[in-house]
Amino acid sequence: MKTPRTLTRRDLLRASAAAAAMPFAIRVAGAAEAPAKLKGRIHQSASKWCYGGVPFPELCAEGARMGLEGIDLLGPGSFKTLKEHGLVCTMTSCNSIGRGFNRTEHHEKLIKNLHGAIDATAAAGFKNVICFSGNRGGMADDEGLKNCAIGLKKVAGYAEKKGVVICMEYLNSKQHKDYMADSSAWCFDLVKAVGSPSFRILYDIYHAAMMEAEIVTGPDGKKTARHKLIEIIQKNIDAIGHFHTGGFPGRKDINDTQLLDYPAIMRAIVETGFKGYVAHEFVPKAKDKAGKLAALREAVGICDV
Amino acid sequence: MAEPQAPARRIKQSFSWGVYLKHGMTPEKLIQTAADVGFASIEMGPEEHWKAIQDAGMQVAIFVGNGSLGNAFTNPDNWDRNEKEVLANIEKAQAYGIDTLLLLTGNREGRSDAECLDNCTTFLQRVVGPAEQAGIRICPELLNSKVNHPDYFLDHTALGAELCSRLASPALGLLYDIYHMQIMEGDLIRTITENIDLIGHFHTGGNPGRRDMDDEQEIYYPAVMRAIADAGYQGYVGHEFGPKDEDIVAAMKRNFAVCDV
Repeated sequence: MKTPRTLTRRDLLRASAAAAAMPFAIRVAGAAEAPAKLKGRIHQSASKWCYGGVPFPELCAEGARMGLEGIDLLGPGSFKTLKEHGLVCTMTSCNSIGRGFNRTEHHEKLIKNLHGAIDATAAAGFKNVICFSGNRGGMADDEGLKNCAIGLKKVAGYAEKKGVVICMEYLNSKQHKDYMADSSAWCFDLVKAVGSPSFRILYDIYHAAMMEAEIVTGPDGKKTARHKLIEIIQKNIDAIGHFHTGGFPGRKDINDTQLLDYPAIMRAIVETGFKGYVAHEFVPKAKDKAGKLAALREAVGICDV
Repeated sequence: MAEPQAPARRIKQSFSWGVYLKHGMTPEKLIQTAADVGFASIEMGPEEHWKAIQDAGMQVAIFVGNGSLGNAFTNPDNWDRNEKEVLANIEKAQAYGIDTLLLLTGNREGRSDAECLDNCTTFLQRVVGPAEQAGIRICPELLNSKVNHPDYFLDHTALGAELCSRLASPALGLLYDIYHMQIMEGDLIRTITENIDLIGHFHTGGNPGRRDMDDEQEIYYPAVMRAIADAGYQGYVGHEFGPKDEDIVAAMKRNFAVCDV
C-alpha cells in the first residue's frame, strides 16, 4: 500500500469505508504515521503557544511529519531545536501587543529590540519578525498610523539589508481590547505609508473575521459567515507577509465545526502566487496531547489545497 | 465605619511565603487568609504547599530557579550546576502550571560589567530555549549591592535591559524589586514604565529598612502601583519585606490595601 498523505476528513470517510471492507490492510493515522506527502502549495506552520502540554521537541517532530515547514512565534533560544527537526521559525517573537509603534515614545525601545530579533532571525536564515501597533489609549487612528509609519521607517531599512520582513499583526480589538491595527483598511494603508519591501501585514484570518465578518442565520437555522475576506486578501496580497488561521468564531479547530471556508480561502491565496507562510493559530478543542496533534494534522489537511 | 470600597484589583498581588508566616500563623491559615484578603498568589514557598495554594484559587507566581544568590552564573564554574537546576525547575514549573522562574546572577567576584554580562549571556543561552519551549519566563532578579547584597552583579536596570537585548528572547524577563532599585537608582516610575515589557515580576518593600509599605518609609506605593497597572503590566506584584505589626492578619490587609489600586 502506498504511503498516505495527511488525512483529510474526506480521506477518513474513505478510509473507514475501505476499512469496513478490508479491515487488516488499513493503517491508522497516528504518531507512527509516515511523513505526509502534501501538495505543498500552501507553506504551513503552527504557533507553539497553542500546544501547551506538547513537549516542544515532540511538536517539532510531529509537525515535521505532518508537513509543517516551521513553527511560529518563538525566540532565538528555540532556533537550534527547530533546525534539528528541519524546521524554520516562521515568525520570530518580539515586543508586546499593547505597547507598539503607534506611540513615538516607544520607538527607541521597540527598534532596539527589533534590531536584536532581526539579527538573530537573519543569522539563522529565517525571514519574519513580528511587531504590533499597540493600543489606542484614546489616540485617533490616523495619528497612530502616522506614528507607526515614522517608527517603522526607521527600522525597515535595516530589515531590508538583513533580508528580513517585519510583519505587523492584525488583531481583533474585541478580545485584544483597544488594539489599534484592527481593520484591513488601516493595516494596508500603513503598508503604503511605510513603503518598504521589509514591512508587511501578518493577516490573521480569524481576527479579521471577528472584525469584518457577519454571522447570518439562514431560514433553515443554519449559520454562515458573510464576509469579503477572500476579495480583501486577493486585492492586498502584496501587502501581506504572513497568515494566521483559526476557527471563526471561537478560535478553535478550523474544520466544519466553524464558519469559515478555509479550503476556499487557501485556494484564493494559492491563486495569488503568495510564497509566504500560513501558520495555524487556533486552540484545539481537544485537551489531550494526541487530540491536539490530531487537530493540527486535520488543519494541515484542510489547508493543503 | 466608612463604606467598604469596591476592590480595584488592577494589580495581581502576591507575597513571599515567609512574609506573613509568623506570630502564630500556620500554613493552612495563611493560605485561607490570603485568599480571603484578595491575594492572587503566594510565591516561593515550599513545594509541599503549592497544591493547597492552587486549590484555594490562587497561583504560585514565581519560585527560585537556581542557587545561590552570591554564587551563580556570573562564574562559569557554576554553569553546569545552574543549568541542571534551571532545567529541573522549568519542568517543575510546567507540572504546576507556574509560568515564571526567579534567577539569581551571583556576585561579581572581581569581574567587570562586560565580563559578567558575557558570562550571564552565555549561561542564559543554555536555558532560554527550554524556557521558551515550556512557555516559562525566566527572570533574573535586580538586587541592591549597596546595603543587603554587596558584590551582587545584577544591581542596575540597565544591566538587565542589556541582557534582555542580547538574548532577544520572549522567555527572558527581569524581576524588578522596587525596594532594591529604590536603593540603587530611584526614579522608579520612569524606569518601570520605560522597561515594562522586560519586567516579568515585581517585589515590594519599604525603604529604608525593608518593612511595611507604610508612611514611615519613602516610597509612595499607590502611585508606583498605578503606574505599573497603567503601563499594561499583566504579571504579579509580590510583597517581600518584614511586617512590623504582630497582628499579622492586620499587616497583610493593610499592605494589600496600599497596592490595591
